[in-house]
Amino acid sequence: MQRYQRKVYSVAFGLLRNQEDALDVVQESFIKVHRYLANFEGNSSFYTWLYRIVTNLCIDHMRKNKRYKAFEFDDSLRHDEKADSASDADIRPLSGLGDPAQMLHRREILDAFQNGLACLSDKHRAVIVMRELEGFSYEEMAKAMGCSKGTIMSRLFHARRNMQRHLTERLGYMPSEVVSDSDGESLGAVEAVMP
Amino acid sequence: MRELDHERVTKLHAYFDGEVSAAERQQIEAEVGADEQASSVLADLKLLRGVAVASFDAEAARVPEARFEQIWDEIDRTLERDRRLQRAAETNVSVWSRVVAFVRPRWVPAVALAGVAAALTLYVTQDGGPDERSSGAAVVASKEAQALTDVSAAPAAVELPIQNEAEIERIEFGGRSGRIDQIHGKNGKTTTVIWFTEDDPTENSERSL
Amino acid sequence: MKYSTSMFHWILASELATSGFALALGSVLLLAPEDARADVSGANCQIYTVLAMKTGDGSIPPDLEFIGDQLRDDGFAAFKGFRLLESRALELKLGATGVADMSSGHRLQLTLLGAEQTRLKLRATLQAGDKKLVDTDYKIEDAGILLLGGVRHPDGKIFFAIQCRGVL
Repeated sequence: MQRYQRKVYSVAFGLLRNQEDALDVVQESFIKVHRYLANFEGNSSFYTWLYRIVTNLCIDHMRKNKRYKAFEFDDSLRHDEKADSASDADIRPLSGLGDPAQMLHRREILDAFQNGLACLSDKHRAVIVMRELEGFSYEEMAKAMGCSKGTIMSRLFHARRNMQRHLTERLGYMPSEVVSDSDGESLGAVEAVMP
Repeated sequence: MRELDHERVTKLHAYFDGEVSAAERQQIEAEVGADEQASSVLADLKLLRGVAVASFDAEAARVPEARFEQIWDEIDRTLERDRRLQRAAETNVSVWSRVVAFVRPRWVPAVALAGVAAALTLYVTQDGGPDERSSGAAVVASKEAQALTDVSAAPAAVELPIQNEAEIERIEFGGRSGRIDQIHGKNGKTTTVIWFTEDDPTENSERSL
Repeated sequence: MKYSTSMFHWILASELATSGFALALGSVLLLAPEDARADVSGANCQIYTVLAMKTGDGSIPPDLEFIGDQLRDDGFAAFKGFRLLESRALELKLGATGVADMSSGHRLQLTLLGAEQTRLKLRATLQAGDKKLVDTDYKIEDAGILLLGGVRHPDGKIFFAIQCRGVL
């Protein structure tokens, strides 16, 4: 199972944004997987099952832990309306950042994504992690977050748009070398427009 | 180049996520070829996903392998503790309980009946003696003969008690493996689950599965 | 003299009867369930056979909502669909064994061993043909549910939910 450990960690870290909390969830997830492994008999939904366990543990962790009080899955706590209501005109295509194949190896882009994730609301971060990393269906996401499929579609749409805006704003108008060495001022400027 | 409306972009997202019907997929694929903006939206979605996966991989790579080793050591310890508890539950049967369990169904009823019959015989052949003395024995004699009804019934409304956890006093698994779990429900009630498997247990270590 | 003989016979008979009664009483105690509570004479038990399937939309059908909280737990996360296959009732007398031959082909034997305070002590034995899969003694709160599962099925796994209520 060790080959899954970093994937599981990625999901947990994506949702919790804290290394030690994420590692605790990794540990708890593999214990649960081992305990309930007999239920699988090698069927192909292992990844889905594993990710579901990790996701549920993260959600439980956020709900129980006071540190995550602000991140409860409560629609009333935090909205991205300001960003959502902004015009689509200020969102530039990601392809404008450079060669797509190269982008996946550029440290500043990968860091900017993590930074953008931290700036997203809890709901938007969760749908990004569940969909892009875990491959959950809308239905599975709706169940995990206790909302409708329509809500998930809406959240995913806005989360992606906010992330795209974040990446293009942070990286789009400056040379990548500068961005890769900078973590302060330019980030602050970006965060000001983020929800 | 016309601006894509919100509904259409949302539909493109759903298409990208594999959440549209076969008919919708065909229609979107036919349109995308001639629609530069739609193609751009899909390209961005694909790129965003690629960046997301690569970014998470890079983030996970920051965790030293030794840290995961620590975690696996702790997992091993927890699972070993599980196994010890399991073994304890399976062997937690006293010698006396085993003797009683062996003797009770076979010999005790016969001895009891013989004793009762002897006592009754003596009473019947003698003058006097209270009749009530035999009534307890009659209850015993009829105990094994009590009828059991086995009826099919539709499930009624079920409300679990607050303390729903079962205390397993003795357990024997006839299959190849088994375990006892506790589910801690969100309603605060704990439910005991006895899992058993008819398959060969996997002998691999947890790490190599 | 006749009176004395009669007295002797009566005393002898009384002693024998007492011994026999003691023996019978001892037998009763051995036969009787441990910790038997005088005011519980039996139990009404319900056995639910549930199929946990690999396919489905993950929803819990209304007739299984009573264990919905449990089915949504990670322990059942391997399954995406659930179906109540059967529900059987067993009326148990204290110390006696009830047998339920389930349509899944399994035989579940339940024995009410006794009761203490608000808890029932039960023995559950699940068999597949001649093979005993699980044999357990457990104590559980009146109306508590024990889940027992892991029987292979082409669509997933079968488990049983056992719930008993004491009868005065």
